[in-house]
This record gives sequence, structure tokens and C-alpha cells, in this order.
Amino acid sequence: MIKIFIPLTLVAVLSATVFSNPAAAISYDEIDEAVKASEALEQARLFPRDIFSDRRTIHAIRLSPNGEKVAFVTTDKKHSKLWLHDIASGENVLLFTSEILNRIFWSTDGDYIIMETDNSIASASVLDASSPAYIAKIKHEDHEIFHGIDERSPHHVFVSLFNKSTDDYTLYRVDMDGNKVPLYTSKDKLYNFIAEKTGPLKFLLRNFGLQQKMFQIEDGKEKQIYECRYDDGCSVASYNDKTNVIYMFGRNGGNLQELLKFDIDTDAVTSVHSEEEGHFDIDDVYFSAETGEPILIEYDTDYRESYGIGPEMSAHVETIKATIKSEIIHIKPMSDKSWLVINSDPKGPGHSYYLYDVKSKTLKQPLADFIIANPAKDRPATVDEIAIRIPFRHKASDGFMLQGYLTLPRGVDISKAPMVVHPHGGPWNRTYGAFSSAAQVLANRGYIVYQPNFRSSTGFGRDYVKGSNRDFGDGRVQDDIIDGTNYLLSRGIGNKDKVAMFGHSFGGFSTMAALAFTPDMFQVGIAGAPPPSLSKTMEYYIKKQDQTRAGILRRDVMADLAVDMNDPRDIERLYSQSPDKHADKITKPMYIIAGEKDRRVNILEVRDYAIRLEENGGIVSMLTDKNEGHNFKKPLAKEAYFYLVETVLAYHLGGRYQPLIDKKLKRYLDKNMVMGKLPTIEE
Amino acid sequence: MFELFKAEFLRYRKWAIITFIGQLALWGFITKIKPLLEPEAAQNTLITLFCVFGGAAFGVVQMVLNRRKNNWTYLIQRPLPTKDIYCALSAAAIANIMIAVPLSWTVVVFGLDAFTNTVVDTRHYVYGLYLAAMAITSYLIGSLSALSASRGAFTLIFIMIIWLFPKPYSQTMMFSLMAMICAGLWYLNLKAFKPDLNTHVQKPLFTLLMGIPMYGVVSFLLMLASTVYYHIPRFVMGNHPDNNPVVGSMSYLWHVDDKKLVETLLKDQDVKNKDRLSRQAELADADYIDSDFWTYPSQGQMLTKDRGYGLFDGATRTRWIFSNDKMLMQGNDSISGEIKGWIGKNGFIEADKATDDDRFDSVPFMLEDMFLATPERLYQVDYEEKELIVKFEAPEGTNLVSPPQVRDNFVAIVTNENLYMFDKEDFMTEMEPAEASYIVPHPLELEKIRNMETRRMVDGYLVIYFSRHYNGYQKEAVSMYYARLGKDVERISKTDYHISRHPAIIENLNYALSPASYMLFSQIFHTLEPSEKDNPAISEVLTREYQPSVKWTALILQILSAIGTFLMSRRIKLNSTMTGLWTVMGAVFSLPALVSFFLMNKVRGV
Repeated sequence: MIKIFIPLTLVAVLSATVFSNPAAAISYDEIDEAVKASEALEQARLFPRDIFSDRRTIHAIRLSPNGEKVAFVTTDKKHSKLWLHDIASGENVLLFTSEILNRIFWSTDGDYIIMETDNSIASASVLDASSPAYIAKIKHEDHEIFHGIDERSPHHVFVSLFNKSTDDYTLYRVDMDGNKVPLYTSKDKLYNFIAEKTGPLKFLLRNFGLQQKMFQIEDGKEKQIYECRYDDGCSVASYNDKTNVIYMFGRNGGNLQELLKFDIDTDAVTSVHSEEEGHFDIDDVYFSAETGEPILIEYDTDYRESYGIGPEMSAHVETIKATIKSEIIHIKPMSDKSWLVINSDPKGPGHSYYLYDVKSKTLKQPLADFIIANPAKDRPATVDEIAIRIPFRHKASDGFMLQGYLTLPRGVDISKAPMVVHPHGGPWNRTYGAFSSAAQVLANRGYIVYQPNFRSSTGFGRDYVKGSNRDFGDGRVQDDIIDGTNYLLSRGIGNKDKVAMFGHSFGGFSTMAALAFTPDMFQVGIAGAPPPSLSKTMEYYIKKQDQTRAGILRRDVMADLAVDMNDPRDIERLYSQSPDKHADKITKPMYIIAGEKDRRVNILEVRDYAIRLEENGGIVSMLTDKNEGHNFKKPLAKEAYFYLVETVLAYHLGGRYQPLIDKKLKRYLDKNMVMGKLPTIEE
Repeated sequence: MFELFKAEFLRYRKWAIITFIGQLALWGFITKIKPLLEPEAAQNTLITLFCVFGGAAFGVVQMVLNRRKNNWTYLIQRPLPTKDIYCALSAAAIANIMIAVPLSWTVVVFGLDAFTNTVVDTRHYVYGLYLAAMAITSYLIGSLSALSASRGAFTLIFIMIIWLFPKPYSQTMMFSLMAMICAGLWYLNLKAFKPDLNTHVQKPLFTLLMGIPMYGVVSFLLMLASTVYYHIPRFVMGNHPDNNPVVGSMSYLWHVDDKKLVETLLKDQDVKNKDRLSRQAELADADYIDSDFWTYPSQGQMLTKDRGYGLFDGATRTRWIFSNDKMLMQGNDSISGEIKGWIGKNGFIEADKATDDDRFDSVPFMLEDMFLATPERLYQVDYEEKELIVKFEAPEGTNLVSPPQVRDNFVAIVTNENLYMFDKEDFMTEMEPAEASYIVPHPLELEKIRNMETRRMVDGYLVIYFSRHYNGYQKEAVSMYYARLGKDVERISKTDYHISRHPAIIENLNYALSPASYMLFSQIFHTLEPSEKDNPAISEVLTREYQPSVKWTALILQILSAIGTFLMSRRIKLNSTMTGLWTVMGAVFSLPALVSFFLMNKVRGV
């Protein structure tokens, strides 16, 4: 069976856009119930700061297409270990250890495991347990890309490589020995296509400014069959050659992205499936490898929802849901024999992995013993220690319905508890319903955590994204965050005198904006990798990466969503309502964390902002790491990041914190606190 | 005699004082723009050229002026033995050299020592003596060239190579050798200083002392001459191996693209999955690892042999310099010069509290402003925590042959037994002992390994060992190993090569021309710097299995040279002792002795 990620233009365009920060989903009002339940719980022990930083034993897992083996990856310090689990015998075999392994895939016949490394694609034969061998080199600096497995061929992958001499890109089908067959060459990379089985391309999507055109290729000639705007997110997903029908993603002029069926003979476009509640865009679809027809569809809703297509598939899905009883289940129907099911229940501290036997309709956990024997942490958090987290909806001040998540600390009076507002990055991203490490650790420290999905968040339809009306800074998007915070306070959630904002990337921008435009509401702000001015940051980012992941010029997308970089008046409009312009209005303490190798937010802009803030008499502290980028990656840097967050919050809001005991961490902080200092909390 | 000394001394005193003042000004100027004691190639080259050519020129000028017809008659007919005359002249010259060369250096170093906190060791004062010894050696060669009837006396200037290139592990040995050579040269000058300067000295000791170094020089020149009689003709004919890779020789691999190296190595090998291995190696990142033995600094070595001046801690602007006298690192503020602290092998200490146990056992290499490498350990200095971390320690019985090699994807440490590969980022940034990701045992003695190359695979590295002597002397081979993370190292292949790039005689020309000369001079250099594997000891040369063509050529040349020197000695009517001596030298030192015969004797018609 074939699984298709939405190569969606909009999500691809937006999610990769400027700044990202993950987070997680419904009930229209479970707030009161959740508050009661949470207050009745016992406080959990003080979690170590890093308890959720590497909480999974298994970092990647794939079921072989024949349903006989499971390949999975564990990590040991900086190394990844690739294991093979034989379902019949239950035996786990370590295939190899690697310093550079990133993602794994199966060849469609299950003979090879295909790996994406830092700069290459490699394969390893499962049959003779050979060492992994490179099959293609990917030079990211030349914007070369690995598209994935050729689902219609047993032993092929697709890559796009750059030809320096001709200054163009060629899409290749590459076999397991590294032999390449060119399929398409053009000045722009292809991102979305369907190839005939072991043959040439059949359909492809190309960008023309903000327009996207779908072509059918016959006898080497391209014939346009469909056209959409980039924010429609149309893309080809599957083709049924018997019915001459294409399955594609798109909005077809509507609000939500859904699975569409395009009849090539009649040009008719019809909806195949859309989310039942009418709130969410589609996420994943699995197709039958034999027919090309969809069999399973998944949506990121408030949590996650899966739908089987047709009675048989629906029955399977319902059986799984009824057995596992979890808010988030990932179903991967990779074979006719068995499916991989991953339970990522946000109420639990980790994932659990199941194999669903299609014939007997039963589930078993083949790796349970392995996970118990190889825990990621010495003393992982348990279900009984996790804080309650719920999605909720509220009306913004202009009447627009917004969604967000609320995490409540255990065993405290919620009306008196301090609150941390934690907006996500992006801004074209969203907070998901999945387990949120940041929210859980903050709740463990005694804070209510509000994670808003403000307008411009993705996954809730085009209106939600475009509803921001390019109004960042002192405008609509910030108002959404403030409206949500006020809504919760009005519901008796949190102490209005103990509210802080902490965000990373665009969340950091929102934090700066909060302290600049609503200074009386927040006691302190913590901004990670924050762009003080979106327009300046856009300019910097466009210089570094001029195209989105979907190959559309970022400048064009930004003009549509935020600011027209060719229009000085528009730039001035956005700048005039940015925190950068209003640095003098900040009166509350501001803590900034930034990586000097950030390719999205210019560290010079951040420094300049911090210095101006200080010159204006503001209380500002800054931690910078010369070796880190937009997101801190080294464990020590990540721990320092969270130590700063919890110490600052404890000082200003009075929550719990883990004292500084590690010499290396102290040394790191001494070295990298370049401005101001961390508060000292008297015991 | 003293009057003659005085007159000769005064004759050059003005020039010596001018040179002294000029040098003083130069050292003062250099001190203003950089630390004077910091090794600097330009500074080193300048002073070396000055000593070598200045000394030689002075020797030539002094003696040429004295041997002018009237001067010479006047000089030689003084009521003094010629020996005393030469003693007075050479002593006057050496006295002037001592004013012109080491005095200014000593004054400046004394000033630094007395009035600043700069680390000044005994070796810095001794360096003046070293410069003087160089200048005196050159002077003696210059004067000998002017006095001797031999046309080849000037070639002895090549002796200076002994002072310039090796990094002697023992300063005592170096100065002893210098003293011996100076004494020998002085003796040669003394004997050459005779009323009739146009006749050759025919004394066995003179001939031996002048002849033996000349054999080395002549051997070297004969080897250089292979450019004329071998390389250029082959280039002209278009078949020189540099442009025409010799298939079947290891050197062929130097012409193979990095991407195709593994494929080439596996071409005729019976290796499982060799096609896949070749193809992935083609896509893998390639790197190079040096197997050279570095000569570690020796205590008291001349500062021109230092590879670095110290470590610099940018945060506190402290420059840490190694004191050879104290065997400790001394930290000085780079601006004020104030002493900031001391580092011993056990960490940061106060100087006056240093015990013998704190002192380093050997002088370390200083690298990357934070590493100190000794043959046994690699230390990392943590300036912030004031700790000295043992980053890596060679297992007992082994030692680091060179400092760490920082590459794109890893850091390599080579010991005489293993290759250790570390995660680069951890190694360079973490302040804690490093743990090797891979340990690859060398397949043969490191001395025989030319170099290593790596190919980064998904699960580890291919490590390729190149050796010119894998299967015996000049029997080349390349072996390849697969070092997988967390697994044992697997040998993949070994490729033997039976064809040499050049004919064996060309490859071993130094030996073929004169085995004795080659072994003697190689042994001298080996004695000075044992870790330099290009200069084998005589015992090692004797174990080599030279190709028959080389051995026969050497033997035939020795016989012919013996016959040649014998016949020539007879022809110019040397006495039987000298005839015997030259015949033996021809038999032992071969062609260089025969050539030297013509340079050291007047052979009519030649």
C-alpha cells in the first residue's frame, strides 16, 4: 500500500517558512471539567529538565511491505542504531550503527532498507544483511533533494540532482546499485509528480509564480490538465490507470484541503473525503499499490483522526480505535498482512507500537519487551505524573472562532496558578494535539500553559491562515493571542498578576510584541530566536533561501501572506507595528536566547534590539550560542535553554525549578550569557 | 703572534661593531612588532642566511686579502711558524664573529630576561652560541675554499645542512658534532695554510677529513644529476612516469580519481559485494591521514625548531608559553606582560608551589590554542575551569607519533600501533576525555606505512593503508579495512604491486652510487633525529633486500672506482700510502670518492 504525504504546496510552503516550533487538540468546553480533575490530582515529582528531551527509545520505525519485519532506530549518544525485528521469531537484530543516519524506508518488495543520511541516500539488503551502501549523494547546498521511494517499483527511489554545467535539475529514478535513469530535466526542481511503473513521468506539477499547473505527459509532450493557486495546495497523489482518474489534494476553491478525484476524461473534480467536523485540513492518505485507490485517510484534528475508505477498511480502523482507545493513533497500512499502529496518546509520556494482524483483527506489541529493556531515561515520567492537556475553542474579539490548547498543573488551585502563554513558531505552523514536552515540563513546574493557534496557523483551512490579514505585530495575530489569554483568565484560569509569555521563533516575536503592546498583562517575557522585525527577517531569510520547499519564490509567498518586499510602503506598514519599532515601550524584564548560526533570524538584528532595549532602560538578558542555529540541538545547549526558562519563570512567577547542579551547565551559562544575568532565587 | 692577532682583529673590528649595532637595531625592531622569541620563518631565514653566507664570505675575503701576492709573502715570512700565523688570523676572525653575531642576540635576550616577564630559557641564550657556531663553521669553509688548492673545497658548505634541517633530540649531541666539525675544518685550514697554496696537501688525515664530507656532497650532486641523465630525457621522450602512470605500480593510484580508488583497488580482488562497495565509495567523503612521525620538541631545543610559540586564551588575553627550564607553561597577559599563572602536567598551579611531579616530562607540541601533545598524552586546557584534561592517553607501550589531525568529519590520532578516530565536534568542543569511535590496528609497522585514506560509509569508515614496503623492501601493497561503528574491524582486501614506478637503480640511486656514503650520512642524520624515518640507521639499511640490479650496480661502481682511484693515484705519482688510501676510499665510497679524487688532486689533462 502506498502512503502519500501531502506534498502540499501550502503546508510545505508555510510550514517551512520562517520559524517553526512544534506544540499539539477538541471538545468545545472541557475546561471546567479539566480544572476540577486537575486540581484533584496529586502533584507530580519535580521532573528533571531533560526528561522529555529524548524520551523515546525508538526514534523511527517502519514495517516492511510484506509485513514480516519491522525496522527501527534507536540512539546511543550521537549514534543511531538500526535494528531489524523479525515478527515471526520475535528476534531483534542490530544491523549497524551510524553517525549519519536520519530517516529509514523500505523498498516496496521489502528486500532493502533505504536510508537518508546527512548528505546521501543509502540502501542495505535485508536478505544478506549487507553493509549499507550509498546509492546517491545529495548536496543540500545545491538544493538537491530526495523525493522518496518509487512506490510503483520494487527497488527504486527518486532524487533530483543539480547539473552545474547546465545549471538545471534532473529528476532521476535510482536503483539499489546507484544506477540512475533521468526522467525529467528543467531549470526548476520538480516537487510533485507521478511516474509510470518503471517508466517515464505521467503527471507533474510546476510552479508559475503563485500559480501551479498540473500536466499530463503523453509521448513526451506536456498537456495542462489542472491549475490552482499556491494556497489551494493542489498536488497529485495517485493515479488509477483503469479509470483514468487522478487522486489529488487541494481545496478546489473551498476552505479545507481534502482528497479530490480528478477525472481526466471529463475534467470533473469531486471531493472524495473531507474531515467530518469541517475544521481541519487533510494530512496523510494511503493508497492501494495495486489499484491506486485511497484506503485510509488521516487528519490532524484537535488530536488525530483516521478514516478507512470503504466498509472493510473502516471496520479495521474501528477495531483498532476500539482496542487502543487513544486520542492519537497513527495507522500505517503498509501490507496486506499486517499494519503498523503507533499509539501517541498525549495523555501518556511515550509511544507504544502495535502490529495489527489484518486477518485475525488482533493487535500485539512486538517491541514492548525491547522498550522495557532499553528505556530512554532511567526514570521516565509515567501516565500518573502527566498533566491534563485539552484543546478548546473561543471567540476572538472580532468574533472569529479560534482553537488552542490548555495544559493544567496537577494538584494546585488553578485560579491562583501562574500562567505561561506559549505561542508556536512559524507563524505558518500550528500547535498539535500530540504530547507536548514543553507544556508538560512547564506544568510540572506549576504553570498553566496556554498554546494558542492564532490566525495564520495551518491545518485549520485557508480562512484561518489568511484571516491574519498580514497583520503581524501590533495587529490581528497578536490580538488573537491576547484574546485567548483574556478568555482563559475570564474563565478563572490562572492568576492575572502572574502571566508570562515564552515563545520561540515567531513565538519569540509574539513575546516581544506582548511586552511592547500589552506591558501590563505580562510579568516577564522569554523569547527564543526572536525576529524583532518580520520585514527585516523576511529579507534576511529570503537572501539565505529564496525558495520554499515546494519551489515557489519565497518573496512571492511572503507578499501574499505578510509583506511585499518590493513595496517600501508595505515594509514600512509592517515595521511600524513591529516590536522592533516599539522597543522603547517595553518595561517588563525580557530574556532572549539566540543561536549565532541562525539562518532564519539574523543574530545582528537580535543583538541590536537587545542593546536598544537596554539603552532605553529596559531589563534585558541575553544568552547566545555561537555554535547553534535557529533551534538549539546540542543536549547541553537545550538544557541551558530550558534552565533559563524555568529559572526566569520561577523568579518572576514563583513556580518550581530544578536548581543548577551541573558544572558543565554552569560553565555554559557563564560563557554564553552575553548580556544581563540570570536571576538568583533565594531558597 | 698576539700582535698579528691584534692587527687582524682591528682590521675587521669596525665591520664587526657595525654588524653588532645593525643586528641590535633589527632585534629591537622585531621585538616591537612581535615577540622576539616567537619562531618566525622570515626571521629564521634571515639570520640563517646571514650567518651561513656572511660567515663564508668573511672567510673567503679574509684569506683572499691575505693571499694577495705581496701580503702573502709578507705574512708567511714573518718570524713565526705558519701554524701560529694561521692561529692568530683565525682567532682574530672568530673574535670578530663573536662580536658580530651572538653578542647582539645575547644582549637583547638578557634585556628581555632582566626587564620583562617574557619566558626566557637557557636555550634562548644558547641560541646565540648556535648562531656563532653556524657562522664559524661557514667562516672556516670559506677560508678553506680560499686557501685550499682543491677545486671542491667550497662544496663543503653543504655541511651546513646538518645544522639547518634535522631537529636534534639531544642538544648536547648537536653541539658536540658541531664542535667536532669545526675542529676538523680548523685542522683542514691549518694544513692548507702553507707557503705554497697551489699544491695539494697529501696527508692521509687531511684527505680523510676533507674527503668524507665531500663524498656526501658529491653523492647528492650525482643524484641531482639524474634529472639530466634520466628525468629530462624521459620527459622529452614522453614516457616519464609522472605523465604516464605505470600500470601495476602503486604509484598508478596517485593518478586515479578519489572516487574510483576503491574500485581500482578491488578490481582483481575476490571480495563479496565489491561492486556495491566500489559504487558507494565513489559517493563517499574522502579524507587523508598522515602517518609521518613527528619529532617532538626536545628540552632546550633551538627556538628555530619550535613549531609554535604557545597557546592563547582569547577570553583573558593570556599567552601561555612553555618554559623549557621549568618544564611548565607560563601564562602572561598579552598586553601588560603580567604573569597570570602556571600550568603543569597536573593542571593549573602557582609557580612557587610547583613540585617535580607537576613538571611536564617532555616538551609538548602546542596546538589549536588548547591542546598540548606529548608522545604519551594529549592534554586539553580548560581555561575557564582552570583544569588540564587528559584528552587522550596512548595505551602503555604505545605512543602518539604525531599531534591530532583534524579532518572534515573526524579527528584522527595515530599511535605506533593504532589509528584512533573521534567525533570531530565532541573532540574540539567538549572539555572531557575523548572516546574513540573507531580503533583500527595498523596492519604493519607504522614506519613502513606511507599514509592512510578514509572513505566515510553509512555505518563507519573504509580505511586504506598504503605502504611502499608492505611485503618487504620496496614491495608495495595497499590494504583496505572496514571499521564499523561498534563492531570489529574487518579486512576487505590487500592489493600487491610488483612493478616499480622507476627502475630500481633510480629508486635507490643514493645506495647504488655509494652504499657507504649513503649509510654514513643517513646514520648521522638518524643519530641526530631518530624519529625521521627518511634517514634510516645503518642497521636498518643492512636489513633491506635491495634489488639485484641495485646491488650489482653498487658493486661494479665500487670496483671501478677503486681501479680508477688506483690508476689515477699512480698517474699523478702519489706515494704508496696515499695511493692505498685513495684506492680503499674508491672501493668503499665508490663513485663519489673517484669524483672527489679529481677535486682534491691536480690531474693533468683532466
